[in-house]
Amino acid sequence: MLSLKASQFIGHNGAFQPFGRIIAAFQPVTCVDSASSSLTHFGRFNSTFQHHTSLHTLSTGLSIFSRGLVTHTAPPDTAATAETLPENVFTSISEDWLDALTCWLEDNDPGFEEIEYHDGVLTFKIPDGMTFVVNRQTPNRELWLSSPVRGPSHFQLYSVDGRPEWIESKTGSNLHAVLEEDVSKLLGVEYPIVIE
Amino acid sequence: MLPVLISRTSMLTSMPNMVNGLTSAILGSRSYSQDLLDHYEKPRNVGAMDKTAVDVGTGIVGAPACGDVMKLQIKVDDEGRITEAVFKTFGCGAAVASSSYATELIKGKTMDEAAGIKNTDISTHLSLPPVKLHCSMLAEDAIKAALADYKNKQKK
Repeated sequence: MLSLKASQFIGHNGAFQPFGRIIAAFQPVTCVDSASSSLTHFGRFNSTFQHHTSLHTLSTGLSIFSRGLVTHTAPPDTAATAETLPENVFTSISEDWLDALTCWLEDNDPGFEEIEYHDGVLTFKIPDGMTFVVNRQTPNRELWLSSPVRGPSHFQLYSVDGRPEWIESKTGSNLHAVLEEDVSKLLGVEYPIVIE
Repeated sequence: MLPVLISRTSMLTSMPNMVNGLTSAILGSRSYSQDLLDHYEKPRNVGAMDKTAVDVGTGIVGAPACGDVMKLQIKVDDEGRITEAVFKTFGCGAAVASSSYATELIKGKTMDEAAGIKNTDISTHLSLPPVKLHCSMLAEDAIKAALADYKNKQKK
């Protein structure tokens, strides 16, 4: 059985490079404003896949990756695991997602008492001291949410149409939707969140 | 995060055995509640049972890589009531306190009642800070894992 190390997938330019055939550059994009897309690199990754292979989504990219590690193909809609997704790729994806979320909150501040994001941990407070925490949980390739409305929950990483989506396995909820719902509930007004 | 580092040197052992007075000095700055500190400094029901015994259910949840591992064991009598519960936890103060409180909660309860215990029962009692709510969820999972293990054994 092949045993492949993550380092074998880093190409000459430092980019994630499964099997050396597909080159994808993960360049974390610093958020400038909410109009600019923080996850455009994801789209670039996506189109590179399309150019070199017939794949369309990161998830099928994951299945190529896992094909190297195990001798079967993982179905495209399984959650990312430590075996199927290298740590640096996960860090990059989660970093960009949390960055985009932070930018949105900062640009559309309805009076949050605190918005802090560093080291993969995002903390923001609704007026009246209710605190939300969204943090990266790297060993499980998950984002963890602590919501004052519904408590703790874990969200696994899926690729849906080439975009990262964070889905809770127990309830099938999407982290994006959960945040919108819970924040809106506490604010008393509808608070849409756009994560590009 | 000194408390976490200290606890990592003693796998599956609760901390206070090693650092008695130091804990509240360290944790005081984190503003943990009095109840939480109490469970952390004087945890209830630390110990282990024979996991091969037919009346013992063992639940192990979490993973060292994630920072928390909880082992919770129950002894169930013929009427399906939990007579004894013990735990050993590797992790932060909130994790130790959550599992300690969990063993207190389930002692004397029937298996159905224990299965009904929610993470909110634990987090509310200990006044867990937002970032530590996950510890109470893990404790709830540990209870359910121990019950499942016991039920599995009865089938055999």
